[in-house]
Amino acid sequence: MKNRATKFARLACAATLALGWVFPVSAAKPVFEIEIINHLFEPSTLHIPANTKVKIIIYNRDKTPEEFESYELNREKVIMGRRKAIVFVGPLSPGTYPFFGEFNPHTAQGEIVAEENNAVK
Amino acid sequence: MLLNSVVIVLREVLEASVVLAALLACCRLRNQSIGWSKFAVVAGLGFAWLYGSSMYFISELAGGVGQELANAGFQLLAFTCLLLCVYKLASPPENEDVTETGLIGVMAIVLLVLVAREGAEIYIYIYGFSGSDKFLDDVIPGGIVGAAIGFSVGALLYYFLLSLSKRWALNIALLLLIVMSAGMIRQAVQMLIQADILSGSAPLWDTSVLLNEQSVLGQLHILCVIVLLHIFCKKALT
Repeated sequence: MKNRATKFARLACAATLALGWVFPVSAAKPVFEIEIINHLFEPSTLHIPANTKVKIIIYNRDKTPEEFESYELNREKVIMGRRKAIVFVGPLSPGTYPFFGEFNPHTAQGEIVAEENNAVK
Repeated sequence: MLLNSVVIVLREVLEASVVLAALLACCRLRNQSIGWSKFAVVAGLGFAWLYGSSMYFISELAGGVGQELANAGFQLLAFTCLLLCVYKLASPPENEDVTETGLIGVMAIVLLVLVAREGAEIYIYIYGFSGSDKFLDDVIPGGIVGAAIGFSVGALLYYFLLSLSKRWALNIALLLLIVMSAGMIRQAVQMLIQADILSGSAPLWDTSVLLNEQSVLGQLHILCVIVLLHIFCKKALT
């Protein structure tokens, strides 16, 4: 009985430690929003603070799904029609990072500009 | 729009069709039946429909990153099973007449997961555009062409592998499966970084100057590798 309890306690401790590594406690991140309206990103240029991890909420106001994709940011996410999606980006060094909508690449284009002096909201 | 549809569907089909071709070739080389693949593909298509149609619900889970977690989970499962397959396939069969049920089971899981995942993405793309005016002109024909090219590449790879000597065929098939599994774990990690489960960092290296991911060649590089293998290596390795 004692052995089983000790074994269980050790397993529980190990699992908690392991989960602690996998799910670190994180501070609140700045949140930005982008909308997809008629296969266009609004705003098409998003200014974010450099060297900071940010949370971007993308609202797809169209009926059809869109795929938010960026090679520079290494992000790829399908946003269903009339739904929102969350994408975490950063920390990015200062610069311009283009993104596009893969399902409508000719119209849905935008860029994220990471700026040094941008105050964190 | 038409070319866009071709590339989108082709990319999805290519991953599954290359893995399927390599696995089937390995089965043939070990005198195992390949009938299991039909069931795995059909079951995979069923799951693809299920997964695709539940995407509205799944994407809202886990604080909006349900889709990333689900995709990462599938990729990790396929990766693990594929590595098990490679490990088993790398050693010669103990008895040529015995059906290797365990191996076939794990290969079926890999195929099912890949078909389900790629199929779901195609389903979302096609279903999403079903109401638009470009559906019949661009999306459907483009999708059919893309899928047809993907299947053809798989068939080309399968027959190419079987035309080689047994030793080379197995080595190349296993190398291909290892490379594909590396792609799976890369995608899984990308999903987890995207969902803020893992921390991202600056890339280790960037050789996009040699082959840009954004170019058509970059996106369809696996197709080019297979064609080049067929042209240049067939004579040397037969």
